[in-house]
Amino acid sequence: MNVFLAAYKNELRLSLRDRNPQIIIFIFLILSSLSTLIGWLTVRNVGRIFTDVKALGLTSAPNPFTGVPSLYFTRDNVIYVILVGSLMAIVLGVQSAIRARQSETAILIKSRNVKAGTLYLGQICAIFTILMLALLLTSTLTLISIWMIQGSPMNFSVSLRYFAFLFISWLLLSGLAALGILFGSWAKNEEGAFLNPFVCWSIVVFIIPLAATGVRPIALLNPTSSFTESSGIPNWVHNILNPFMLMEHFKAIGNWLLGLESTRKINTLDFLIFACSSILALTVPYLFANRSLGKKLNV
Amino acid sequence: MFKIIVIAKKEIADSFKSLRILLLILTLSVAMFASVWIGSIGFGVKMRDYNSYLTSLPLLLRSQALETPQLFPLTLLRAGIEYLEILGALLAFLIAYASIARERSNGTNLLLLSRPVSKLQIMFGKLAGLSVLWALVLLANLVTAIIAVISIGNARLTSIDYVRLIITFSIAEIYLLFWTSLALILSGRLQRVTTALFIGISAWVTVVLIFPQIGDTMDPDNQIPGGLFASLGVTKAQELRVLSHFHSFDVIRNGIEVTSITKLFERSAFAFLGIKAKYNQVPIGTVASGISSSLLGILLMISIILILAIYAGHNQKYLGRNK
Repeated sequence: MNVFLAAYKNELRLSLRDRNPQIIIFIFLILSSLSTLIGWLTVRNVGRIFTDVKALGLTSAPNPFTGVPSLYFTRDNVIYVILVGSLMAIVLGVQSAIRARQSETAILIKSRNVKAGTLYLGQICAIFTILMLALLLTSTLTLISIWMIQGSPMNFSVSLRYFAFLFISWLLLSGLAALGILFGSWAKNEEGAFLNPFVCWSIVVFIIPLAATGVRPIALLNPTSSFTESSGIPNWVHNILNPFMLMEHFKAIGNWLLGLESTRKINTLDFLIFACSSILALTVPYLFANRSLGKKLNV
Repeated sequence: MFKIIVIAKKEIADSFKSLRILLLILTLSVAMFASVWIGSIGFGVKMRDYNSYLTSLPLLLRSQALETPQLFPLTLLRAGIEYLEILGALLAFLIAYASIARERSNGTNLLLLSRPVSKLQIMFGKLAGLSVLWALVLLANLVTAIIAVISIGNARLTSIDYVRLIITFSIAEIYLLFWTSLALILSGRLQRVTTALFIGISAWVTVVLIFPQIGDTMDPDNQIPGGLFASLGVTKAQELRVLSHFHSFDVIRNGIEVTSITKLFERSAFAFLGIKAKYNQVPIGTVASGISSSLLGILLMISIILILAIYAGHNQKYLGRNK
């Protein structure tokens, strides 16, 4: 059988059977689906509050929440991709690499005419498929929820924007899964394989944005991007750390695609940094595939 | 009791020998210091602007100038507290997890259990050791924060400010103890330590990030930058009058928030430090009574987790072989 296909099928079967990634995939699906409902309930409540304020004669301004765009309800999806989706992708990647190392099949594989790179591609493509399935399931639930809320399905252009957002989410998660495989392949033991990427993730998500922009760590939970205008030394620090603020770039692109209000306009640099990071994350593990195949655990 | 102390001492010694743990703690401390530093610089800029505005005024008009910007130095700790909420909880969990995972992966748990020491004593020994470790870390961070506020922010702390800081960091210790206990329970009780890691990380994401985020999303005042009511020019009294018609929605929103120990810790810390405007410059007793439900919530949650720890420590499968 074709090596790529065999590795793909094997990884797909084992990953879907593994209980640990299932827990995080389940949480991701639940939260992403609930976010639309929460968004809708909040907008409805604020609309009523506004009507009350108007009835009391405290304002004459039009209700800013009347006729909000359909995708406004999905604004928290961007955050859930960063918080839960990222962890889901890392877990899938690490688990895949650790499983292969625990089964110690590398000796057998190396005795055959099998290229480590092809094996890796089969493995990673299976994880890409799982991530895509999780995102498609989420999107289906979201589209149905919005249909029920509005009483009509989303129009084509809005749906297209939503699917473009899903695509960049998939790209981000795929890159993280590939890095998960790299961490899983090189760590000395299972604990380190999971711990190290989690720590790196928390630094990228919480610490770098603070150092670069001076925002508070809790700003991550805000759907709008944390970029601020600065000059002098803060600007210099910002420029150095800018390429590492991956999640902020993702948030900016995601908000732009969903048509949500943002504190700043999207620029090509966001796309460039995001695309370069994704390509780098996807190719580095491939380049190291041969050297990492058969690395023993707990040695 | 002696056995617990021996295990606790070993835990502290191991922690100080581990480069990974030291690096993690250093990361948290640097992040906290940086946040105070950035906050202090911001205040310094405000003060400089005010002073240049003051000097630009003719001498006779200076008495009628705008009031000096008020500095409440403890409010500079806001981002630092948020780091404790997020990264502190994660590190407390990971360090305690690593402590048990290391024992179970190396098989030293079996050696330890062959000695006349109970599983409960092992667990509480580790808990005591890690509590001392976190107390030391918090103390170091407290001193660093005070130095940063005084030296960079050019602020002066009163004796009551020090009391407020000590109360806040004591609550932080309880908060970190919660996450440490959770890690000790999960990583000792579950058959595979990595399963404990998944469940713990999922719990961290849910309790520390998702629940507060849902609460913030549902908060009507968070829907517009600067606040919905402020943008409409609605006074506090009018706001409360309007919101009284939406009591059930607010009960649900608040209910989601208070299930998170992180939110309870945040409310308590922000109140004692005067970050929450309502409690700024208010006597400590009044603050404590104002946030009594949050304080009780924290005590309730730590009590529950400690009872669960005792229950887990009595279980035969606790600290078993890692599968």
